[in-house]
Amino acid sequence: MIAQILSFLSLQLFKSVTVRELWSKNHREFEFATGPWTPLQKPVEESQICLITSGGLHLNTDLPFDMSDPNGDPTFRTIPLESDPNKWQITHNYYDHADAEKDWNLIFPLERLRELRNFGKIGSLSSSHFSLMGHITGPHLPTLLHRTAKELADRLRDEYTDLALLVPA
Amino acid sequence: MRSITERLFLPRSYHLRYPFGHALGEVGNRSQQLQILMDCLNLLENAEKPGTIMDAPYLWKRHQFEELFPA
Repeated sequence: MIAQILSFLSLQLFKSVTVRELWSKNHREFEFATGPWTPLQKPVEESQICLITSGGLHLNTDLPFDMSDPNGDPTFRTIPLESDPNKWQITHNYYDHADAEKDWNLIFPLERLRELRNFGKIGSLSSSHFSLMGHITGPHLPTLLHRTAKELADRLRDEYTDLALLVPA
Repeated sequence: MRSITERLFLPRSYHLRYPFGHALGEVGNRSQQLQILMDCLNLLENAEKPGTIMDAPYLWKRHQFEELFPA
């Protein structure tokens, strides 16, 4: 019961942008002096785009993200392009996803990207899109960096994805 | 969270000061969601070096978004 109360208070507290920004100044799990860079290979209007969310989204027939581990779950789930949004669900106890469940576009704007494809602003959408749960700490961070990210990159390459749009939750 | 984004040195980032769970804005606000996505696509075209962060000018629930594309 105490854990549930603390979890609820934490969710309420982190609704404040100011609190979040104060917290983030001291959050130093990863720090890099430089970063990767790949120039665009073709115009966005001709590119295939993949969506990756950290919002804990998954098909309701898939294994939910593990909420019993306080360090989170460093695995990912696949959301097929043609999957039924009525069969999507969110398993993520570290943010308030009530609004996202009313409108998936808040954390997974696949419907909007479809529109942009239809308006010719992007070339196409990948046949598979992906989801992680964004609360990952401690021993799972190396797993995320060295295993999950590599597996995801392999999937993107296998599907000839040109651009990946990562949407945090 | 801009400070974390800076430390991660991501290739191209778009920064909004919106609450958790609202990366694309408000429920059902199609114009807002499309504007944010179009900004991200423009960033892809225009960024010239890794670590580029574009700060969105849209205040939470205070910006009126115009319809970019007919529904």
